[in-house]
Amino acid sequence: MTSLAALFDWLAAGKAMSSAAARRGNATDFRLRRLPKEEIHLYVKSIDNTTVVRLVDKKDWLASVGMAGGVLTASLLLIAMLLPGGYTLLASHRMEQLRHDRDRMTNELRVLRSRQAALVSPSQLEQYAGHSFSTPTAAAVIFAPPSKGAVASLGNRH
Amino acid sequence: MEIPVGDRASKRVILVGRIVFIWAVLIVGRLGYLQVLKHDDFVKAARAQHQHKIQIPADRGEILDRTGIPLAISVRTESLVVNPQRVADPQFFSAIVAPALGLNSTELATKIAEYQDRGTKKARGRGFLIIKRHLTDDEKYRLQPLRRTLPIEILPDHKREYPNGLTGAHVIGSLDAEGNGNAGLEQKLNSEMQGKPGKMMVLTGSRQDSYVSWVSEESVQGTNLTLSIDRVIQHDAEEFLAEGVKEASASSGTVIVMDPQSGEVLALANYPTFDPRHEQPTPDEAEARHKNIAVQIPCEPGSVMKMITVTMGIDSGRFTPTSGIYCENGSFPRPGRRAIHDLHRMGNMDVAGILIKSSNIGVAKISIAAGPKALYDYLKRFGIGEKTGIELPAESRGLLRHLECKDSKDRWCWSPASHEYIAFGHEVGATAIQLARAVSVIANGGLLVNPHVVLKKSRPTDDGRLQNVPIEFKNPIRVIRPETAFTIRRIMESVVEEGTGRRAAVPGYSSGGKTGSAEIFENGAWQNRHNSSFIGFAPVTNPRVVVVVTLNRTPKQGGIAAAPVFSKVAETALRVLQVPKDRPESDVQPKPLTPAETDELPENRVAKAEALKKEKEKEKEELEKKKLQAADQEPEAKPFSPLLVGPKVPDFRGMPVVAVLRESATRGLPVEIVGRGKARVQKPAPGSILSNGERIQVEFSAAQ
Repeated sequence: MTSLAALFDWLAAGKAMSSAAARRGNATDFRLRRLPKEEIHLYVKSIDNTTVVRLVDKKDWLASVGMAGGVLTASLLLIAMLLPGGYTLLASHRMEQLRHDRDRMTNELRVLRSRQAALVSPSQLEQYAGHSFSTPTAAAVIFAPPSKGAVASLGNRH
Repeated sequence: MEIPVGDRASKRVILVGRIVFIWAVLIVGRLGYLQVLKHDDFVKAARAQHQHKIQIPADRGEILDRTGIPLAISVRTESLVVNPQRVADPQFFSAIVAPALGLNSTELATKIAEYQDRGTKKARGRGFLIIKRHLTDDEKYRLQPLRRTLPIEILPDHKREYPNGLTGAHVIGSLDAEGNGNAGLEQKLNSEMQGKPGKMMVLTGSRQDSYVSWVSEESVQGTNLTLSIDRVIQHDAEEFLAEGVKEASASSGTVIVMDPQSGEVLALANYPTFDPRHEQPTPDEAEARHKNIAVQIPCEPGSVMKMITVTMGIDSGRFTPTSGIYCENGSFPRPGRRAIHDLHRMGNMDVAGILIKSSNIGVAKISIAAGPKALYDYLKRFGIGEKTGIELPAESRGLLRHLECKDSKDRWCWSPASHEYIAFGHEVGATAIQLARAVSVIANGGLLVNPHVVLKKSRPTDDGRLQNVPIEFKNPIRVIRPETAFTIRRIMESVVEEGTGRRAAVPGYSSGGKTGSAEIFENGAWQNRHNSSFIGFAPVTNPRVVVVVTLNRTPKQGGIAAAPVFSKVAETALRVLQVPKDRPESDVQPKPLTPAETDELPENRVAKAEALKKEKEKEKEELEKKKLQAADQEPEAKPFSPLLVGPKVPDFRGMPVVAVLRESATRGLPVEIVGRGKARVQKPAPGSILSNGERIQVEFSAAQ
């Protein structure tokens, strides 16, 4: 059995005190003084459970299981309620992103189509060709001979 | 009596309690007033402060050519705007913003200052100024850090791109700064093409920075148009027209290429033209933008109208191509009015020759014989004086006065002599598209088609697919007999082969047409300037294209100025449409022309008048001599044209009866059979032209 101050001394100050005292020799004792009527008596009482009889309490058991089940169900319900919303939120976000991407790509496609059309426009092709290309004269055009089984041919039009 | 202290204290407490109660009632009342009675108003006011509605511009529909290549396409861009009222120091603002956009800071500062409350009256107090439209990625990147500190906003915008530049400008049209069409199809079908704008709600903070936004209504894209225009034919038509206008010293001109079977316009070109890409056009361009000559401006068609008059003569059964008409040797005096003249003296002519040689007197006589009612009826049948219904803005119905006057004051009606002059294209006005429609009647075998430039309309659905929008096309109406159309077609072929339109010959293809030259009468005098035109088709057997060329205010006539343009345009169109050639290419070079053959007018009208005067004097002298020599001399032999319109007679000789019948049935020739056995003699001879109504007489005899 020991007092609170002694316990404190032992726990915290004891070792430091002893080492400091050893170093300083006749140092002043600053340990806490015992207060009156403050003793705490700690003792161990052995309990014999050999005669204890375990009683089955169905009510408690049901209450516990009910509580656990309720909590579980509530959790599941909560999840079930929040999950679609959350999923919808994520899906909406994803859809919005995809829509944005679609719009951006549609616009890019338009820009590219416009550029392509400008590049293959007759006036642009004329610029590329310069004066190197011209319509061939009639005499310069040679028609390929008709293939077997052909019913009409430009080569034989005369 | 002294009141006890306790009583006084309790009275005070009661008084204070009452005051507190009244105060509480007032507070609750006020709260009720604000929260219940005025709830909606305050909600509105709050929303107005932090919730904004932004319009999402709809994508404008595309315009594609018949092969699916875009002619006009909208691209989403962004534009920089500012509220000038929130700019504290325009100089400072401009010094920061202008360099980022490559603008002149002084000009920008001046503009902002004008928009603020110290500018012109027109711009006073404006709260919206577009600093620059269609920002590039670099410009947006440079503006990014400035958006936090300056009152600028980047708003969604659209840019209309015309990748083919000027090609088809008058058909496609253009947009104004607000994005509304101001010419061509962009104007005519603006409501369909602009789509429906969407709405976006934006919640903003105290600094007007948006932190939440959502689309409350999606925008709906406008209708896409697929045109019947072929951009290659269109481009070449514009080039050849510009060349033709310059060569003929004309002021303006137009070319139309049309499919005569369906009425699909393959090209429609005007000169002068404009660039639809210019948002701020020059005054000349602005004028050209609103002047679609081919559709909006009628002019006297001149001799091309003879095609309708001769068609009327033949279709009504009064004349055949070989019917003879005396053309009065160049001058046809009319009682009480000016005489009708031909440019060259012509005596007896057949009807075909009248069209080939373009005799005014000849067609006037046809019209006199048929009467004004018949001519008016045929003009209406050919669509003259009526809108064609083409999908282009401000179409003119031309100028065709009423046949009968409502009263004595009515001047918008035919005079007793109008039909004589309308027969050769005077006193009447037609647009180029009306002429194209009229010549299509001849080219397609007698059907009046409805010219159109829109082939297909489509609208994107929610899943991104294109859904066709139904278009109602009117069915063609039969207006003349097919055999008449065939006959006129052959006569018009002769116009190109040996008549006034020889410069219209298309290498490798047969072609037919008619020249026209209407001299311009302005300010009380003839101007020695013409509206020269050529209308025609190719190939003759199965016409695939009809081409109308009109050159305005040129000193040259249709056969000289417009016919070569026809030749070039028709050749391009037939090549692009991959029409097989139907003529030997040795025929490409037309015979050299003489002024007489091409009806070339003297450059000066006075000189022409003098020449005519001399001719008349000479003629008088000759007549007097003849009178003296032989009073009872036979009249001049009727010089029928050797050209008889009709099919060639095949050689039946040596063939049995069955074979002759089969051959004649195949060719659609009427045959009269005499005897049995094998064909020995036939009339007309093989290779000759079978005239209208004539039969081939074949005599058979048994083999010897």
